[in-house]
Amino acid sequence: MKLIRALILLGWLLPMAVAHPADMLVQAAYITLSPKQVKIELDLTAGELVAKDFLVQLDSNQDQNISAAEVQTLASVVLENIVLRVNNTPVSLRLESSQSSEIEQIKLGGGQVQLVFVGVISASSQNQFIFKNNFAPVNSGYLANVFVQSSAVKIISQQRDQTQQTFEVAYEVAESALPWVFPWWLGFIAVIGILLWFSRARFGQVKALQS
Amino acid sequence: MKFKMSLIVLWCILGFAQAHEISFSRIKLEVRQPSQIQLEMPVKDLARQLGNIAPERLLQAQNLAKLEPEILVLVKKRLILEVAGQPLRFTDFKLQALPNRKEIQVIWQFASIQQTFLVQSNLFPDNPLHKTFLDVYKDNQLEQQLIFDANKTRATIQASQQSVWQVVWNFVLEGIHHIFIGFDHILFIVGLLLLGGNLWQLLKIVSAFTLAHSITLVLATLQILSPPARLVEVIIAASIVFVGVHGFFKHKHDLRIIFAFGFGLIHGFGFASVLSELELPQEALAWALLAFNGGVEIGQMCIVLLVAPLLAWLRRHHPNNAALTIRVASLAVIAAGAYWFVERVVGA
Repeated sequence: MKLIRALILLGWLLPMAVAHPADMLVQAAYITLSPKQVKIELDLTAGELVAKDFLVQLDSNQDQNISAAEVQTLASVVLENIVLRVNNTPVSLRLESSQSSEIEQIKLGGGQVQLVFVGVISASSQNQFIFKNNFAPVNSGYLANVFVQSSAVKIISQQRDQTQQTFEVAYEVAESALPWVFPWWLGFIAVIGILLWFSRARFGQVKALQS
Repeated sequence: MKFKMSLIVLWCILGFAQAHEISFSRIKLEVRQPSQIQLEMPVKDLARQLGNIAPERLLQAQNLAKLEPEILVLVKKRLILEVAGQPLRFTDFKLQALPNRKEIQVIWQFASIQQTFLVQSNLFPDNPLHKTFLDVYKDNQLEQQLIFDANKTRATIQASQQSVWQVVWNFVLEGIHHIFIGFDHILFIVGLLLLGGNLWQLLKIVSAFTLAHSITLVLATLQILSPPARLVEVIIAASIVFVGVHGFFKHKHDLRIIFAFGFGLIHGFGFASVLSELELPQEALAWALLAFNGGVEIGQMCIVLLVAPLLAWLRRHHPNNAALTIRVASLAVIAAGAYWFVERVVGA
């Protein structure tokens, strides 16, 4: 009877102690913006009630060991389910790094898979990005946050849908941090102009001497 | 006995579960005056570090005061700022509970950082799911945000003062950049060049513009004169219309030097507003001003060297077409100026 009482107490206290829901795969996206690049760190933390199902996908050969190749395979599946658009243009992301906790830790709900993706963006002074995470191998909860890597980037507004699966951010990039395409062209044309001017002047002098 | 055993099992499981929560700490680091760190950390994580005490105890001022020395030792050990390999000395600690957020806040001061420094943060190593967000501020402006966790516990951050040469180089680039992205300035200069002239005439016109905008750029940057920005923008637009009209009707007197100087004074205020958006190094203000102005001149010279030879070539080889081209170009200058004028007046 006392054992049953203790177990009831355990059942009541345990959910309170676990900050992330036990029946959920928490997918936290930390998006860092710089003028020319976007970095997305996606932390996947499976609660102990869904860890087994999540591990079916992660530990694909079921050898009770999570290899680097398995994490990368998961990353490619995740990547297929992530949509990132900057100024309505899809951004091509690549996996920069990936790591996983030990399988035992994940089984107990305390492990994490950390995936870092990067993409090159062509920002203008006013920008908007839309991040959507459609990865849902098991019941998932989503978080999304944005960070800036330099003072050249200023966040104007942030909007999340109810599940935080879709995250929209409006941001500004200081003009001094934008790539200089136009000036380089002008500079190039100016140099050609100078050369033509000088060559013409020299040519004129030679002609004058000849005559 | 069974009950006691069950409680021990319960305690172990709870301990594990509590140690693996997704939790966050925040650090606000101001590297200049007043150079200070503000750290906010969850009471649950902190309580576990202090011997698994009840987190609620930390939220009570009396208990917090008792535990203050222990907390400070812990924080000093796990959050380190190093300059040139030497840990920074922290002073004036202030500790307080934030009951609504269930967090403890620690604030402390240190000598301001002027160079590259290293941050090491591993506040709760027993919780692999804990993350610490660091916001780095310089002179109250957010410079950088970093995330620390079990996998990333160190970061090198630049707080260095720029050398004079770096300041000069950066501001020369800013000046050139501003001329090339400021189509109104480009069109004003192009408008001045359309009527042509020999090298000496063009040099006088461009120098008048340079002298004028240099005067007001300095006056505005030193906050001696600061006319309303919108008024400046409207007059800049009007100046483009004026030079366009002058080029189109070919007034018998060449008024371009007067236009260049008069409107140059207004364009200087426009340059100053751009300069005010940049982080002007107070310790090298004169250099920054000089360099920015130099950059503007380089940008202007590029435009002159691009447009003047083209117009000279056109006049020499296609004199009939040249007159028509200049009229069309003047019309385009007027149209653009008028458009900006209306846009800026309506916007104002």
